[in-house]
Amino acid sequence: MNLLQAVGGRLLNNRWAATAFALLLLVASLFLAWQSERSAAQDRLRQVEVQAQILAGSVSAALAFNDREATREYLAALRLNRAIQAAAVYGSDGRLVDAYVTDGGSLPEAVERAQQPRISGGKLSVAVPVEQQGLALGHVYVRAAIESWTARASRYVAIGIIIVLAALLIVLLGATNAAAAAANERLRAEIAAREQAEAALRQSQKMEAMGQLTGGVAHDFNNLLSAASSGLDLLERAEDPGRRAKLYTGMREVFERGAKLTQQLLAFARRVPLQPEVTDVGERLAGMRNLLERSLHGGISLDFDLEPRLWPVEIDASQFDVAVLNCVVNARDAMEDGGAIRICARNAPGGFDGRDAIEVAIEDNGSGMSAEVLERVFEPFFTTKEVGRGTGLGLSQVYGFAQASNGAATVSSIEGVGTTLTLFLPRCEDAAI
Amino acid sequence: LKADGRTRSRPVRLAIALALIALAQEPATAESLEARIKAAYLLKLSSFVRWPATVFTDANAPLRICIVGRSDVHAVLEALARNQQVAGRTIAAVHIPHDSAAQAQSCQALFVGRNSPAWRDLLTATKRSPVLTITDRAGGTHGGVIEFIESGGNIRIGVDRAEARARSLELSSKLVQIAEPTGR
Repeated sequence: MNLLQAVGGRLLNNRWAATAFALLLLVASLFLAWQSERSAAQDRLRQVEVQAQILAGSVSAALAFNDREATREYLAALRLNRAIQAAAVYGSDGRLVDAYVTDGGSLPEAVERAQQPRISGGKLSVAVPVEQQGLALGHVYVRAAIESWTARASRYVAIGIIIVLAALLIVLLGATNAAAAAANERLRAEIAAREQAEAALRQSQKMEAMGQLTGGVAHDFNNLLSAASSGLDLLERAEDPGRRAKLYTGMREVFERGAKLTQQLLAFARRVPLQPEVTDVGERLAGMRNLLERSLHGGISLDFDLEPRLWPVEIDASQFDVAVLNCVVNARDAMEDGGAIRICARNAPGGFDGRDAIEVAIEDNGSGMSAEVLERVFEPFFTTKEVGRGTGLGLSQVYGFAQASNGAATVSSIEGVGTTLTLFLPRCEDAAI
Repeated sequence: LKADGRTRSRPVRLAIALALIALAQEPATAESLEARIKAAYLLKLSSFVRWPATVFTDANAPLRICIVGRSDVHAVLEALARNQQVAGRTIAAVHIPHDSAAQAQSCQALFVGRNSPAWRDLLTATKRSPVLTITDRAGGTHGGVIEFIESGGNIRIGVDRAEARARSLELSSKLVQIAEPTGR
């Protein structure tokens, strides 16, 4: 079936193949018609010969003993067959005994030998011997009309029209399908180009988030480096083995924290396509705490309110990280004078278009947004920040991520009170976590 | 005038030529039409009859048609039967005398064509033998399996099916169909 579809599809997608197929259909049907014509003509010849033989068989006694009346009766019986337009009986001396003619033609004056069925002048004629136990008693001559050309053609008209229409349909289908295939090809190329552009956009969004991070991270790194450097100084001077060991441990911790930080940054900046995997959002958020804290400045507190046993969701974890980070950075920037950010995650049974989902909310008590800003908040390149601080890609990434995860992102805000950004991520049904 | 005379003589010459050709094709001497028809009937009759296989001594034995009292018919038949075969057998036309009952036994067909004092004996002698007896009412004989009946210038065939059955002869249904039933 698949093979048939493949062959059929290829055939119909190619204009020339379809035309060739249609031509093949026409040629095949012409051949079949010719074949059937031939066999019909053969049949007719045989029929006429059989009729002549039947007459020869039945008329033998009447012919042998000059029974004119009986001969005439046999001829009259044959005459009922309209197609037989002339029939004649000849004696053993070749002379005509009796006959009838309905087509106005003439009869052979004498028949002294059998004649194979033959067609001449649109008529089919045959002469067969009359024999009784091998004794020649005479001949019988039969002439029949051949079906006229128009009568024969009319038999093929209906089927001919159907075949021609079928051929036309195939050609038409081939043409439209070829056009559709070309359009499809263009569309596919366009989609590929768009996907590439989207990937580039995602990457740039990531880089922006990283840029936002960098300030805090650089500061942190500096702290770690100075801690390490002073640790080394102290180690040089310290002589008490207990104190040295303590310093070693402290420095190792410093290095480990630095390495972890670097790792997180690398993981963040890596160029990877969307890779949905079954993820525990609670675990993921808890793991991000360090990173998030580092992106904030003093005066802003970060709280987590995570429901235990959150349902698993199928998302690209690194994109999720970026989305949460973007939300947090956005909240931070709305709180110049400090404030509080709360990240809540809970199961929402039937909470997303009647389907189970988990709800991740990032709340702040910052400046909030005006209705106009709220309306455009997810638009790419829309920003309220001054030039050089924001690209306007942060929240559009959040929106894109939610859409790509079959979920949704909503934002609600009251000017001067704060903003809540909520992500709905549909529950993964067949996950075993 | 001269040309006219020549055109008039052409059909005459043609007629003479045709007559000569006709004479040359005629078998034997100019027998009567009646004799020619009866001879032809005798030959054709043999093809509408089936004899028990036992009547022939071997596969190549000819089919004997015996004629009594009609040498003219015999002469025509002899000419007609030359090169003819019925059911793969050649035809032998035999002329036998009136009083030859013994010879009659060896015939497959026996035509008693003319009244004579002993004609009935011939029929009796072949009684219950597979001999196709043919009598001719016009010749004063009757009672054969087949009878020639003259009516209106035509010679018709009469058939006595009971007699045929008694002699173990199988008559073609086609013959029976066109024949007149005779006998009791």
